[in-house]
Amino acid sequence: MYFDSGSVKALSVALVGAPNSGKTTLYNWLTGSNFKTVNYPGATVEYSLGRLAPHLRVVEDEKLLVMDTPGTYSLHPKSADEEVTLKAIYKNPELGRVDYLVVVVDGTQLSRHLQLVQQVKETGFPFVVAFTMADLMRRQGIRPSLELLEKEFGCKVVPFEGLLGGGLKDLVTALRALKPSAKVQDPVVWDFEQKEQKIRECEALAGRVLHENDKAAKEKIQGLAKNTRRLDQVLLHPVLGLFLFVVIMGALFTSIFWVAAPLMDLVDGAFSALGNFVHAFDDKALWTDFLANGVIASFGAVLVFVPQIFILFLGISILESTGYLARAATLIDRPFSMLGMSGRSFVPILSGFACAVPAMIATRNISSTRDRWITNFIVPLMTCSARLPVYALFLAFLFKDQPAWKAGVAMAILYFAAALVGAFAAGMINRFLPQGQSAFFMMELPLYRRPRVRVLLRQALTRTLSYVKRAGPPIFIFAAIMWAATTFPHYNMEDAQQKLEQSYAGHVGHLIEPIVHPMGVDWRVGVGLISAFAAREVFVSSLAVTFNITDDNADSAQQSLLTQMQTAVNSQGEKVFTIASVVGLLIFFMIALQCMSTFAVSAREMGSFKFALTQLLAFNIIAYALAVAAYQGLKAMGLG
Amino acid sequence: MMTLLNYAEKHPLAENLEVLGIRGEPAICERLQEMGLHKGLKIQLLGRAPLKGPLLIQFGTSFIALRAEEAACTLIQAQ
Repeated sequence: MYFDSGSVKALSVALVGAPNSGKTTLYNWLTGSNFKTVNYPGATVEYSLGRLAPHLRVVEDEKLLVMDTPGTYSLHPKSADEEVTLKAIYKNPELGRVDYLVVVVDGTQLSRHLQLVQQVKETGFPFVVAFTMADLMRRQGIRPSLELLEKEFGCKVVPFEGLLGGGLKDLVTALRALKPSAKVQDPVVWDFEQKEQKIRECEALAGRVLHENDKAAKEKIQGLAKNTRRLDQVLLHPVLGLFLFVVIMGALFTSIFWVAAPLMDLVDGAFSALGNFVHAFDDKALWTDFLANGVIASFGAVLVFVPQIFILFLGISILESTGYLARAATLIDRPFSMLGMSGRSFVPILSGFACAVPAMIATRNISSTRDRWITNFIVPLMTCSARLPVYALFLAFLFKDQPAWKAGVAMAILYFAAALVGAFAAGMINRFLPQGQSAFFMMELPLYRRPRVRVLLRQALTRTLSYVKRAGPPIFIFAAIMWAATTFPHYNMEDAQQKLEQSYAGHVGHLIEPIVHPMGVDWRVGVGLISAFAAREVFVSSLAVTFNITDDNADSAQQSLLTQMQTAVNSQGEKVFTIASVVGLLIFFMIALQCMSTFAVSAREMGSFKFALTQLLAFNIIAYALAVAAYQGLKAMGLG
Repeated sequence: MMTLLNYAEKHPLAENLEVLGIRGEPAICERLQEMGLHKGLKIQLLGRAPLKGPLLIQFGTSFIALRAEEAACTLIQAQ
């Protein structure tokens, strides 16, 4: 167990509630900074677990574990996400069955959210209801009679204010008063008629709680929706809405690059400096080489993308918590559905532009297996951040001594082209994949609200850390293997180029030369392509090794690599890097699935090794065929 | 009696519609219920996303986007 429970068994409480009910905000308040995201290898169970924040404990060592779960409308799951919630409550790998539940209901959506309270009551879980958006309602002058809810459900109902954390202490006190129950049952599935009945009961109850028969009170409640309705007239407008969608997404992507770039340079610089520092101890010794070029360089390779990924996640968090993300998904639903997906595929696809690993995890809230299948299949085609350094190098080669905007335009074209290839692939699969049961989209559009900066930052940080933990180890292991393969058996050889040529990796490179030859490149690029399976960006550093760049200064290293690339010839004396071969390589990197962590996550999320293997083979074979075709075609046009 | 989809194809906006029932694929019906739709509910039609995308409806302080197939499961009557 992660949290030391000492001699007493720690009690656990899970927060359950509909999407956008304010569950995560409450979780953040309850746990302060004492939390972790739990990922179990091999099981699709993912939720956040934390200890009660120190200021909320009565005794120093009070052990109450709080768990956040993916949003759910009922205990009868209809998507992978909702299944996670059910599993996390009933068959939690760490806690077994949790002791208590907090049912989070949004006060502005009361009648709809009371259905879940009814279900929870039936199971027999000891529970407390957290009534969120209490601040919003108070500002409107709405005074809900929560005692009616308490009487109906026989539990404590605590109003909670997300912005300032009001009601937090009362909630914890209510939790302390609960006693674990041995008589918890599995949820009962209601049939249609029962459901109809329950909804009507909830509506009547909510009406009484909110005094809806009082005209003045009802008007105040309607007032809550006024701004949302006005904003939606603009943001969901058929023409203006689409235009603003493009502007907002454009702003998000631009900020990913412009804001992240200096931070990425900082991380990169720090790791280079650290590597040089270690290397300086003894530049001949194997251990310094391993530390500097194996360990530190590969950690750097993982962490250099953290700023980009953080900013993307922050952007997604902002869009999510203001309520816009659901609108974006609605706007994009129709075009996506023509490709066999839905608006729910929007967030995964968007995340795919940072990294395919979190993107595939995000596909869990897609209810249709078929939609989820297609979305997962094309996610690796989105231009992830690991492709950037490779593109940057090749574009610098193609547009050497030309104005910078040309390379910029080419980069934008690469992004669009990748998205088009993805759309094409999805369309093709959609045509040939047998129709499954029809999918539902049905999206709740939350009331627009102002997000809390602290929650935003923490959410983005949690997601980023989860990415690092998941993607980090495989990248690190492959990088270490690559280091060994390029270093041994002649690790003490003076000439770096010879050392590499005769290393294990060099042998493999020569072995696969017949395969890469039709792409117009030689064994050295072949080694680079193999090393890119550790992580795509490793390709660049591997080229630097194979083309014998020894300059330590990062800036001039890129320059001298470019110079080397202009003059490099293969064993027949032909130039290796020409417009034709570089365009071929760009196409290869655009499509190929070279990332082993993506492969692993894909197999796990889809629960099918065959799926991941098909993806791996299909993308790499198509990428190779197109790269060869591009090279041979351009060569025939005289650009070889 | 007609479906919400049929209605929306003729009238882009409506202030006062009454839900008469939910019919169709069980999974869709169940989710519509979880979203709070039921017989007798008064809803407003706010419009439709571009390219014949999802329909936007409001009831009380809830806003929900429904795809064509989902709106086709919702029977309504104009008042």
